[in-house]
Amino acid sequence: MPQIIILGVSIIVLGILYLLYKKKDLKIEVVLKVLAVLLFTSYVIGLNFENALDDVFNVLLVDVKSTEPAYAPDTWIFSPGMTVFIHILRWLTTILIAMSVISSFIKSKHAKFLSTFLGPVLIVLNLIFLDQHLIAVYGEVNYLKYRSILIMIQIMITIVIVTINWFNLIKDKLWPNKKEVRDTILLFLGSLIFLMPLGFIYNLFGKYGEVAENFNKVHLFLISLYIALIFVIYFALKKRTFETRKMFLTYMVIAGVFQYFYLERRGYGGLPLHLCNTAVILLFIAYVFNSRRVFYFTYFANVLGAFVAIMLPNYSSDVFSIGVMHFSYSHFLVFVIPILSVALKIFEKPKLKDMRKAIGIFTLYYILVVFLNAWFNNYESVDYFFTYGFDITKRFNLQWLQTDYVASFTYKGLTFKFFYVYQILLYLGFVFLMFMSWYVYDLVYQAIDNQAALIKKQKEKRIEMNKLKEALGSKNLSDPIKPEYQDKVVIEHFTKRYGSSKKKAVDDFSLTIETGYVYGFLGHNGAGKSTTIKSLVGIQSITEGEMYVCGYSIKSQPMEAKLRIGYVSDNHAVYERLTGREYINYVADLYRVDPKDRDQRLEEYLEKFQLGFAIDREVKSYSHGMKQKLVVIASLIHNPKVWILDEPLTGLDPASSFQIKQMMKEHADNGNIVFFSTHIIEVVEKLCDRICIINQGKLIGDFAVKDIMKEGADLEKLYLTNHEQLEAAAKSQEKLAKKAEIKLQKEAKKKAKKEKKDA
Amino acid sequence: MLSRLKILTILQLSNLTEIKRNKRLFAKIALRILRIVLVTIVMALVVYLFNNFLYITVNIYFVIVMILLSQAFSIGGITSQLMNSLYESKENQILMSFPVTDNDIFISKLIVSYLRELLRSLNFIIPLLIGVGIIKDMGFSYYLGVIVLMFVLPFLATTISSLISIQLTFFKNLFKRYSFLPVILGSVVFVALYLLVSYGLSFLPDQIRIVQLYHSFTNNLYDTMMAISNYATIYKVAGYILYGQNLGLWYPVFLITPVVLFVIVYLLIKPLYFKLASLTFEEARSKKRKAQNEKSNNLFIAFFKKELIVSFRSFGDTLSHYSLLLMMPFVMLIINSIYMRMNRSLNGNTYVLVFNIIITLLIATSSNTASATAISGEGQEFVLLKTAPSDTKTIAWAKILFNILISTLLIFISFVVFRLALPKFPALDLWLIFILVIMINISHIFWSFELDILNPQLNQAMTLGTLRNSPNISKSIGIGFTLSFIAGILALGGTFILGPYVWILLFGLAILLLIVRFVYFRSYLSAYFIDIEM
Repeated sequence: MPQIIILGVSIIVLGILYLLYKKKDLKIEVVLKVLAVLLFTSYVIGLNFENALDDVFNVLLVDVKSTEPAYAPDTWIFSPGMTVFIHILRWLTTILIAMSVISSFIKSKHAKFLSTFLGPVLIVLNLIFLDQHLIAVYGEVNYLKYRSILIMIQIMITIVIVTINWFNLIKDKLWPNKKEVRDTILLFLGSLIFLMPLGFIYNLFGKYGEVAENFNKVHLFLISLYIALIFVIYFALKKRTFETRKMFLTYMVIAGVFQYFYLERRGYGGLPLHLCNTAVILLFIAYVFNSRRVFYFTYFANVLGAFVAIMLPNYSSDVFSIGVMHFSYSHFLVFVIPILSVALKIFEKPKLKDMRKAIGIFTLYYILVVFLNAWFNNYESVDYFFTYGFDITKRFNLQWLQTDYVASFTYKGLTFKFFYVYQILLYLGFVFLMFMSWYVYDLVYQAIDNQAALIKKQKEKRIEMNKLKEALGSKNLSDPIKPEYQDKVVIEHFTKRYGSSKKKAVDDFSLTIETGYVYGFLGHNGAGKSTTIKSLVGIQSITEGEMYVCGYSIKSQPMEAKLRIGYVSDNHAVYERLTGREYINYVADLYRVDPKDRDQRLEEYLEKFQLGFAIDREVKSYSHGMKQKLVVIASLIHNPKVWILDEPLTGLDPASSFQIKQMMKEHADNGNIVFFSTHIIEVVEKLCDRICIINQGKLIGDFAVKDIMKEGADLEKLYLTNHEQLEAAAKSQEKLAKKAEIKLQKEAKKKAKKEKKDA
Repeated sequence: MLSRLKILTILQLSNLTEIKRNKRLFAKIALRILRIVLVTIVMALVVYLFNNFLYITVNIYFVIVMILLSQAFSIGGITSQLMNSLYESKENQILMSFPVTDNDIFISKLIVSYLRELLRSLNFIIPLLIGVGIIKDMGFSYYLGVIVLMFVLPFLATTISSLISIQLTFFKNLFKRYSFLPVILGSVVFVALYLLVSYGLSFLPDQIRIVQLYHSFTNNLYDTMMAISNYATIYKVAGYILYGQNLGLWYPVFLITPVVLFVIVYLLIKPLYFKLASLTFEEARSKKRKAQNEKSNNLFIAFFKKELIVSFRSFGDTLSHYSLLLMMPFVMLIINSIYMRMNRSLNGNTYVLVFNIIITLLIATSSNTASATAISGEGQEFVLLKTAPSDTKTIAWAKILFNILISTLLIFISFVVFRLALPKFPALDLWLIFILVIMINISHIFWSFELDILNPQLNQAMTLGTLRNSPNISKSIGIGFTLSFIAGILALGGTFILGPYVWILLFGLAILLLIVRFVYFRSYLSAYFIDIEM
C-alpha cells in the first residue's frame, strides 16, 4: 500500500514538473537543487535518533572476546542473511542520497552516473523492502510515525531526481564511455568506506576488536589506516579533473555530516560545540558556501584538534563498537578533508592572513565554550573542548593547575566557574600549536612542490642527455658535437631572456670567431655584451640558440667547452683570504693542470706581470690592478684555446693595461682565440683584428679593423653613427614590443577570469 | 656645522629607512603607536603579575634594576653597531670624501644611533615604566620623569657605547694584526666563564624546593636588587627622579651627566676618529705564507682545503656562526644544575630529559646558518664554480663535511664539559641525547644547505656583502625549531608510552630523517646546482 502511494505521488510530481517544463520553460537545474536540499534535510532530520538495528549483536557468531554469550539471538530482529542485506541496502541508499544531492549542485559526470544508474535498482529494492527498513528503524512496521514518513518522502524525492537525470541523459545523449564507466565504478568503490553504517561491523562480528589506546596494535593500525587513506585518496584523485576532485571531497563532507548525526544526541552534551563536532558542520558550510574564512579555521584549528584526538584517544570500549566508530569517522574526516582540500587545490594554500583570521575565529569560539561550560555545568556535566574537565591535566599530572586557580561567581542561583590559569594556558598552547601546524603545512607543501619540480627537472635532463647521444651518434660523449667548429667559437641565433620577462636582453645574435684573432666586442652600457659573454662561459643559461667552443656545445657539453675557455670576469672576484699562490693552485686544480705545467706557467706569468713580491700574501692586501693581474694569470694557467675577457682594462693603470694587452696579442699570435668586451674605442683600434658591435641586444655588424682603417674611416664615428641610427630603430621597436606585451597581458587576465568563473 | 649635521643625518637615515618615499607613512605611524599601546598594556599586566602573584616587590629598586638591565643590553647592541658604523662601514668612504669634517661625520653617526635607540626604547623600557606607573598609581611627576628618561636614556647609552667602541676597535685592530690573540683570548674567556658559572652554581642549595624556597628567593631577590641599585650610579639617579626624591638635586645631575659624557667623548674622539676609521680602508699588510705550489689529489680535497684556509683566516666570522654552540655547555650546565637539585618524580625525570633534548637541539640547529648560506656566501667567487670544467658541485660536499665536523666537535666538547661539570646527570642519558642531537643536527645541515641550493641569494651577497637578510637563514632556524619541538614531543609521548624503549623510536626516526634528507639533498644538488645563475 505505501509503495503505491510513493509511486503515485512521484508520478504526479513528475507530471507537474514535466508540464511546467514544457509550458513555462521551468529550469530543471533549479528544481534539482530544491529537491536535493529537501532530500538532504529530510535525511539528516531522520538520522538523529536511535535505530533498532544498532542493538543487534554478533549476527555471524564471530565474537571471541566478549564476556557476554557469543550467541545472542534474542537481539536479532532479522535472520543473519537479511541483517546483512538490510545493512548493505541502507549503506548503498545513503550513498545514493549523497550522490543525488551532489550531482544537483556540482557538474560531476560521475555523481550523475552513480545517481542515474544506481538509483533505479536501489529505489526498487527500497520499495520492496520498505517494511524491513522500518523494522530496522523502529523494530516494528508503523507507517504513520514521522521517520517512516520521512523515509517515504526520501524515496519519492529520489525517484523524481533519478527520473530527471535519466531524462537529461537521454535528451542530451550523455552516455558514459568505457573510461567514464571504469572511473565511476572506482569512485563508487572508494565512496563505500565513508558511509559504511556505523553499527555494521559490531552487528555482524560483535566485540571483535580491542580498546584502542596508548599506541597498542589496534591504535597503531587505526593511525596507519588514516595516513594510508590520505595518500590513497590523494594519488587517486591527483590527476582527475577539478570537478571530480571537488565532487569526491564534497561527498566526504556530506558523509561527515551523515556519520556525525547517525548517533542520537540529547542534552547540552549533544550540542555540536566540541571542536571536532563543530568542524563537521563548519566544513559543510565551507563547502556549500565556498567560504574561505570558515574553511581555513577548520584547516588550522580543527585538523590539529582531530590529530590530537586521534593520537590520544579517549575510548573506553571495543574499537568496532558504534561509539568508537562514530568517534573515528568524525575525527578522521575532520582531519583529512581540509588537508586534501588544499592538496587537491579545491581551496588555495593558506596565507598568513588566513591564519590570523583563523586565530580570531578560534578565540571567539574559545571564549564561547569557556562561558557555556561554566553555565551548562549547572545542569549536566559537559566539557566542550576540554576547557572544564580534568582529562588533559590528569594525563600530565597537572590537576593542581585547575584546582588551585579557580575564579567563580554566582548569578541568579547559577554558579559560573572558570579555571583561568589552565584555560589561558590551554588557549595559548593551542594557538602556539596552530602556528606550529601552519609552519609544518608550509614545509610539507613546499616539499611536495619541490619534489614535483625535481622529478620534472630530472626528466628534462634525461631528455637532454638522450638528445646529445642522438646528435653524437656513434661518437663518444667527450667528442665535439660539431667537429667542423674545432678551431672556432660559434654563436648561433643566441637569444637571452631573464626569468619570465618577455624583453630580450640579447636577440638572435650570431657570430663566428676564428683562431688567431683578437676579437673586440663593442657596445654601450647595457647593450648585452656581458650577457653574451656570461652565457658563452657558462655563468648564465641560454634561452634560445646555441654556442659552440671548439666544436663543443656550451649547453650540452659544458665541461668539455669550459676546459677550453679561460675567463676574466668584469669584477675580478677572488677569495680574499687566500694568498695569490693558493688561489692560482686552487684554479689549477679545477682545470686539472699538471704540477709541472702549473709551476712553469706561474713563474713565467709572475715575471711578466711583476707580481712575484706579493704572490704569497693574502689577496686582501692587493690593489685593484694586482687583483686583475692575478685573475688574468689564473685564467691562463691551463693555457686555454679560447681566452674571454669582460672589460679587462677597467680601472687599470697604463702599465698594467699595457701588460694585459701584450698578453692578449701574444695569446692570439700563438694560434688561440682572444675575445674581449670593451667600450674603449682606442683600445679596439690598436689591439683588435676584428670587432663586432652590439646594440640593444642585436648584432649590428662584424668588421675587420684593417679594412676600416684602409678606407680611412674613423672607428669612433662608425660606432657612434651605427649606434645612433639603430638606437632610433630600436626605440620604435621597443614601443611596438611594449604594445604587444600589454595586449598579451590583457588577454591573459581575461582568460584567467573566465576560467575562475567556470570553476 | 648644524646644516652639515642635518644633511649627513638625513642622508644616513634615508639609507636605513624609507621615510621620504613611503606613501603610507601615517598608517605606519598609527600602527606603531598602537603597538606601543598594546605593549604598555602587556607590561602593565606583567607588572601586576609580578607584584600580586609572584610576590616580587615592584618599587624603586625594581625600576632601577630594570633600567640598568635594559641599558646594559642597549649598550651592548649599540657598541657593536657603532663599531661597524663608525669605523668599518663602507659608506664612510663616501662620507669622508664629502666637504665635511670628521667630527661632523662622527656626531651625525651618534645622532643616527641615538634616534634608533630612542625608537627601540619605546618597545620595552618606556612601556614597562608606564606599566609600573599605572599599577603603582604614580603621580604626574613620575610620568614627567618617564618622558625625560625617554630622551636621556638613549643619549646615555649612545655616549657610553661610543666610549667603549674606541677601546674595542683598538683591540680589534690589534687582533687583526696578531691572529693568535683572539684564539688565546677566546680560550681564556671560555675558561673564565666556565669557572664563573660553576662558582655561581655552587651557591645553589643542594635541595631546591621551589615552593618552600620561593619566599626566601623573593627576599634574596629584593636584597640583590637593592644592592645593585646602590651601585647603579646615574641609573640610581633616574630612579630617584621617577620616585620624586630630591628632584631639585637629582634632575640637574641627571641632565648634566650625559652632557659631560658627550663632551668627554668628543674631546677623546677628535684626534682619534679619522685614524681609527681610515685604518679599515688602508691596505692591510699581511704576512707572507708558504711559497709552494701544491696540487690537490682530487677536487674534493681542493675544495675542503680552501674551506679550511678561508675559515681559519677569517676566524671571527667563523666563530660568529658557531657562537651559539659555544654557549651550549653553559646553558646545559645551568639548567641541569637546577634540575638536579630539585626533588623530581619519575615524570619529572622525563621532563628533564625532554627539555634537554629540546634545548640542545634548538642551540645546535640555530648554529647551522653557515649551511643555509653556504652557496650564497660564495658571492662573486661563484663565477669560478660556474666557469670551471669540473664537477663543481663537489664543493657542496666539502662545505657540508666541514660544517658537520665543526659542529659535531663543538657539540662533543659541550657534552664533555657538561659531563665533567655535572657528574650527577645520568651518563647513559647524556650520551644517548648526544647521539640523537648529532643525527638530527646533521639532517638539519643537509636540509639548510638544500634551502640555499633551491633559493640562492648570490645577488644579495654580491651587492650588500652580507647575508643577514637571507630568507634561507630564517627558514633554517624555523625548521630547526620545528625539529626540536617535534623531537621533544615524541620523546615526551614516547617515554610515557614506551618507557625506556623510547630511544629505539627516537633513533629510528632520526636515522630515517637522516637518510631522507641525505637522499633529497643529493637529488637537489645534482638537479639544481649546475643551473644556479648569477
